[in-house]
This record gives sequence, structure tokens and C-alpha cells, in this order.
Amino acid sequence: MEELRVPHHPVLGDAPEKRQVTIYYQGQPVPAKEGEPIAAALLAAGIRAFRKTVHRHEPRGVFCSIGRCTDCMMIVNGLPNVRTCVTPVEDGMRLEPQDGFGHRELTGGEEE
Amino acid sequence: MKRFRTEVAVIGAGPAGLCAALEAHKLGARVTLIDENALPGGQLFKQIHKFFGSKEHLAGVRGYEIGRQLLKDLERSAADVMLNSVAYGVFAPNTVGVVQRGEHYAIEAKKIILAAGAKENYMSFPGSTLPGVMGAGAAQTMINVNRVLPGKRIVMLGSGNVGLIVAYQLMQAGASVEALVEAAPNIGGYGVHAGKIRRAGVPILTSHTIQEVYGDGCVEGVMISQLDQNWKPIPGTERAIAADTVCLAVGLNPMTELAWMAGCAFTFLPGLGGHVPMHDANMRTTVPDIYVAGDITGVEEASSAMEEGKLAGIAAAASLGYLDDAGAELRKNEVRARLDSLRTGLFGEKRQTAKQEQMRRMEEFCQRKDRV
Amino acid sequence: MKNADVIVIGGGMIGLSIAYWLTKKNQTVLVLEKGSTLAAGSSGAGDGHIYHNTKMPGYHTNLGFAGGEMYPSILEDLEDDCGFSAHCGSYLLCNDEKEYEIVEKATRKMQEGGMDIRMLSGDELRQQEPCFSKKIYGASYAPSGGKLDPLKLVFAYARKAAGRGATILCDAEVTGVVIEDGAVVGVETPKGTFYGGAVVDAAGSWSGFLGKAAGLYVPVKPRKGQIVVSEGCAPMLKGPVTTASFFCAKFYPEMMQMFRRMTKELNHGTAIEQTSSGTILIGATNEWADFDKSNTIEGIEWLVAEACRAIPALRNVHFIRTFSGFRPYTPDHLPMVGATAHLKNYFFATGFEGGGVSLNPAVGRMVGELICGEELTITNAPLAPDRLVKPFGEATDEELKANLPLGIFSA
Repeated sequence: MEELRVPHHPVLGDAPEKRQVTIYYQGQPVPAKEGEPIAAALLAAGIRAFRKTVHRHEPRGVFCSIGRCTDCMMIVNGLPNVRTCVTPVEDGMRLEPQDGFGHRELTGGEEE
Repeated sequence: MKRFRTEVAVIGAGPAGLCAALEAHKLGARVTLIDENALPGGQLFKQIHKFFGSKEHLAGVRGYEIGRQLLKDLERSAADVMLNSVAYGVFAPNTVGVVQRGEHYAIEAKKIILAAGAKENYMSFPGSTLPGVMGAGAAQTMINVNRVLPGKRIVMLGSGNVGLIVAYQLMQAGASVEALVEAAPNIGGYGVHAGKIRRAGVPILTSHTIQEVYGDGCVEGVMISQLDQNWKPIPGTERAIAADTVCLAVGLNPMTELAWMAGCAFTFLPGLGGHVPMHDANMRTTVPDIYVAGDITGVEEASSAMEEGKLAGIAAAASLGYLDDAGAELRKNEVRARLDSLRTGLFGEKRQTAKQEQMRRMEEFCQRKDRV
Repeated sequence: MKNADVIVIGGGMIGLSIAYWLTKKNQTVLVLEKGSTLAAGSSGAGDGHIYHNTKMPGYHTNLGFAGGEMYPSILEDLEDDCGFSAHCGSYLLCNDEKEYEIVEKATRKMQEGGMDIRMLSGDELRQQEPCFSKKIYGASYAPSGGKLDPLKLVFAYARKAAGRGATILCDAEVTGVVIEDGAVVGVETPKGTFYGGAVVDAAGSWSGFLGKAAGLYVPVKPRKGQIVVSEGCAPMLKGPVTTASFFCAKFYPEMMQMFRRMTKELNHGTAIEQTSSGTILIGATNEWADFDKSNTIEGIEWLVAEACRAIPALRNVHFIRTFSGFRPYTPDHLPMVGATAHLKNYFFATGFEGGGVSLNPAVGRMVGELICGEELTITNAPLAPDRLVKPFGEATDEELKANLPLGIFSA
């Protein structure tokens, strides 16, 4: 799916060199560029359905790309409702598509 | 929670907020600029086309180049910049609640300038929620900022300037634009933009609409049909276009949540994108210490957002005593003149009329309040 | 020339419950709401706890229990489930042994009154609701506690009452009370003067103003409650929860001195509820701010911090909205329901202090029975208004100052 990246551009020129990192979508490695939003890395890998709605379980993907519409929310490192279009990738990040509200850990997080 | 004080808090580091912050800072005010994103610049960095207008509006310069210049100015300044910082609320007295990487701040400011911008409109039709249907601006962000194509075969809905420009930029990024669909009988945007995509072979289908977007789990194609004089689909004119992405360029609306929360009085002006906080000739809202600038005051374009930002920045600094009345008026009038000249021509005039109506309602509101 | 048998002032859940019961008894009803929509006051700005653990043991608690029991049949009649969740249980959380002792004492009294309510140790509590912090010492648990959506309830009542002939007017603030021969005969509003056989004050926090218009001292004033709302979450908490601090302070004021500064200043017990739409509501502060409805950064931070202390997993939840509303406070923390000797045909159903969700079913029925001269299913004696209400002129300056909104006192 590299062909969805835009390395050369008639106006912007060549894309700046960025370190490649690896994120894991449903356990599968996906290459990503350091600092880019999660949504960009997934779209570049041809992944388009990010979550399913709460009541009708219909698929949703990126709509606004500026963190407003919440269509692109996913479970990131175990945390549901993360807006992937405004959250930068980190090496080793674990992503799961979110069905409804997504699973959430009920215990833990106690303050020392 | 950490508390600190500043003189001018600017929320939003897009074209309006950047200019407001720089202007207020230049005049001597202590400024804190807050933005949710990792980088300032807002939507400037996805605008790779040359701006219109005259020389003092940086006509002929591309949006991202203007963004780079503003960022350089910002770096050279001593303004506090808080990035990755969500301004989640405006509270009494003049306090902005901010969360930055899990840390909670209460920033008390003498003046607050709201420059939150706008978001894209959505349009509902069968299949409009399928992955692959996205805002035209969202697609523009993907290709020009993130350098990723949202898809290879695009159908664009809406022939305003955003639709035309983004369709062209999608082609520049290597996508194929299968069609540009417009329900009105005429193209909405500038002829020069339409000409560019038409020459590239993109059919511009006026008096057409999207009947349905179809696909199993994501967009696979678009069913379009022709509209009659009454904007009703003509039976038998349906046709399918294979596509993996549908971009909606159907307008924007101001992001006004913080202004509502701050208690600003609003008015409804469809020509400006909906409900907008009323403001006076100094960009001051009905809440005395709160100013607004840019698309939050009504959807326009980056050039006028920058000028409104400057105006708000000057007015806020002047109200803090950094300029005498005469000096402030002089500077403000320069900006107002540039704003007026930006609001001319086919599209500008409509915005000018709407802005004047807004200002009239603001005056009416203030008079009523005085009487009470 | 009567416009209605009964004029109900106030379009919240108390007023609409009364309209629901009166129309059920074939009375013609006119509801007057001063806001531009129904549920514009407390009913639209609270949580939906059907809560049995936090009321004063005895009559007050029993009335709430009765309300909880009445909901299933009422909702069936309303043809709307109103997000109702029956018997999910309600909890009163005790942070330490001291609070536990006080709550246990109250719980015993409730048990003596025949209520199914019991004490749980911390571990027993976490077995039922695993999300609670290990620091929670214990809780009282009422298995029949529930929750519903108060906004939906108000509008469902309104639909049913209107369907049975009630007239409901918004933007109709009562500015005057028409009295003839010591009896109320009507009310004045910007939409005209309306005449009725009886008038009910269901104006909640605004009852003080209404009372003055009727020549009565009605000691009700607003207490601000701030509420924070989260994003939608998968089910994590079944029953509604309140921390015991407010309960202890309300009924055992001597407890107050041991609280931390912020608890004292904001005077609240944290209430947490996951609604039927998945959002988590955290409320509420209890602040004296007259009719200032603004949220404060301190209030919000404190609410969220307290909720996270009780449920640590909330640290990873986004809170996306805040609002606030007024709870109508009365000097003895009990509502006023019933007639008054000082004005004939004038009835009260006000001062619920945030208990309206549990109490409105039994109170609506009670007022319906009172007005129609029927035998009461549950007596209103402990709530009889004249323990507090008297002619306005007889109230002392201290009383006016302490128990009425600022607007009345300064005027």
C-alpha cells in the first residue's frame, strides 16, 4: 500500500525524511512515520474502517481529520475513544478497532 | 492544578490566533497562545495554493509559506506557546481551563481572544457514513500535511472554492478525481479554479446529486443522478461511478463552544455559517474581556482571519494600555481597511453584507442592554 | 370563568407528575412554566438516581421507596421507558470507619422501617461493583435503587398529561397571584391572567418568589449543583452511587469539622451514575451562589478528583461536558407538600433538594389525592407546609435573609 503515500509532490517537493516506526493493528505490524497521526498511518496501509457505532454497529472511518467528529476513534494501548486523527503514532503502539464504546478495564489505576 | 496569570490568552493558533498573539505581543502585552495540536498554524499548512487578493494580503503566496513565516515570527517572539493543549472551558473570572498531556492548568487572563476556527459540514444521504466519505478539508489535510492519499479514485461533492481547489490538489497528490458533483445549475467557485480541473479532464457535473454511496464496509462507488429545475432527481438519469473516496465540500460552521460557555451573545447568520458570537468593530464580544477572531466569527478565509486576528490583538493590547487611543485607532483602521478590501468581489460582498448585518445586530444588542 | 380546575406552576418533574396524576383523575390542568422549555430548572440539570440510601430514615425514605415501586406501572402508562433501570441497586459509599458507623446507624433505622437496605463491607461492595477503589471502607446498599433519564421523564409526563387534555404553557412566568376572600383564584403571567379552582406551587428553587407574590413566606432557596459528564463508556457501574460525606453532614452536622477543606467549601457528596447512554455523570457540588449558574474550575476539578478516588478507572475517561442547576433547599431539608392555612386552595409541592427523581411519583399522587379530596395513600403530615410557611409579613429579617433568594431580600 506504499502507493498511498505521497513522497514526491509538484508543489511541496519531497516529503521530509522521518524515522520509521511500527504500530500494531489487531496484532499485525503497520509501518508508520514518526510523529504522524495514527489515522494517516492506517489510511496509508489501506485500513479505512476504524470503529463501529454503539447501537447499529455500522462502520466509521476518518471524516474531519481535525479531532472534532470522533468517527475515527479507536482503542489505543487499551484505552478506548482515542481520536486517531489527532494522536501521533508511537513505536510499538497497539491499536484495536473499537466496537461501540469499546472494552475498558474496570480495575487498576489506584493512586499510591 | 497549576494556576498562572497572563495578560492576553489566545485560544487557537491558526491564522487568526497566530496574528492576534503576534500583534498583542508586539505591542508589549504578555501573551499565552494555546492550541490543541502539536504544531501551530491551524489549517494554513494544508493550503498549498496561492492566496488571492492584493499585495498586502500576501496574494500569490501559498498558505503554508505564510504559516512558516508566522511560525518564525512566533519563535522569535517571547510569547508563551502551549501546544498539545486542549482549552476545555472558559470560566469566571476570565479563566481558561487547559489540559496539556494530563496536566491541568487554570490560566487567568486579563483578555481572552477566542480563535477556534471552523469545522466542516456534514451531509446526509444513503451511505454517507461509510468509511471513505470524508470532508474535503480532511482529505486536504491527509494529502498536504500528512502526505497520505485517503484513496485513489475520488468523487467530490460541491463546486465551491474548497471543492474545486481540493479536487485539484488531490490530483497533484496523485489521485484520480472521477467527477465533481454540484447540485446547483452553476459552478459555485472561481472560474479559474474550475478551469484548472476541467482542463485536467475532470467532469464537473452541475445539476447533479449523489443518490447513494455504496459499498460493503467502505466506499466502493457512487450513484449519481441529474436534477431538474426544481432540484428533484430525474428518473432514468442514475449512473454509477466507481470510487473509493467521496469528499464533501459543503461548507463549514464556526466552532463556537467556548464562546457559548463564556456567555457571549450569539446571532444566527446563515451567510457566515450559522450561529456566531456577536462582536463590535474591535472584535470584542458582549462579554467585555472576551474577543473573537477568524472563522469563529463567521466562516471566511485565511486572509480575513489573519486581519481579524490582528485587529483583536491590537484592540486587546490597547485596552490594556499598551497603545494610546489615537495610536490604536490608527492601527485598527489600517486593518479595517484591509478587511474591507478583502470583502469585495463576487464572494467577498456577500460576506461583507453578512458582517455588516452582524455588526448592526451587535449595536442593537448593546443599545438594548444600555436601556435596561 | 375558570381556565382549569387546577393551575400547576412549574414545568419540572414535580409539576408534570402532578399534572399526570390530576389528569388521570379527570381534572382539567394548566401547567405554567417560566422557562422557554419544560425541565428548564432542576429537572433538566440533575442526575437520574432513584436513590434510597440518602434520605432521612423514616418517612422521607419510605416515600422514596414508594416512588421507586410506582415507576414500572407509571412508565408503562407513559409508554416510554425513560432510560429506566430498575433494581440495579444504589450505594452510599463510606470512606472510613467513622462514616461507616454513621451510615450503619441510619441504615438500621431504615431497616426497622421495613426497608430492604443493608451494609456491605469493602470487599462485598467490590464483588458487586468491581470498579470501586480498594480504599472504600464499605457502603450501604439498597437493592431496589434504580436510575432513569429525568429529562425523558418530564417530557413523557407532559405528553401523557397533554394527551388527557392538560394545557402546558412555557414562557409563562407567574408574576402575580389573584386572591379573593382569602382564597387563591388565579395567577397573572405575561401571557394573561389565568383562573383556576386550585393553584399548586411546584416552582422548586423559585418558590420563594412565588410565595411572596401570594403574600407568603416560603423558605426555599437555590443551592447550586455542578455536574460533569463523561464520554460514553462500556458498562462499568450498574447502580447509582453517592459518597457518604454529604449525607453525614446533612443529618449529622457535627461531622462537618472532620472533612477536608474543599468538601467543606463545596459542601458536597460525590454522586456517580452511568446513564443508559453510557455517559458517566458526576455531581454535584452544593454551593450557595444564589441564582448564579456558572461552573467553576475548582468545582469541576474537585468532582472529578473525588470520583476518581472512588472509581480509579475513571482516570482514563474523558470528561466532555459540564453544567449546573439549582436544588431547592429548605431549612429542615424536607420538602413542603400539601395545603396551607394561610391561603385557601393554594397547595405546595416544592423544596425537594434534588430528591425529585425518587419522590415525584408518590408526591404527584399525594397532591392529586389532596386536591380531589380523596383518602391519602401515604400521609403528607411530615411534609405539611405550615411548619415553615407563614404570612410574608410575619417572617423576621433573619429568616428572610437566611432562607430566601437574594432578590427577594434586597427587594
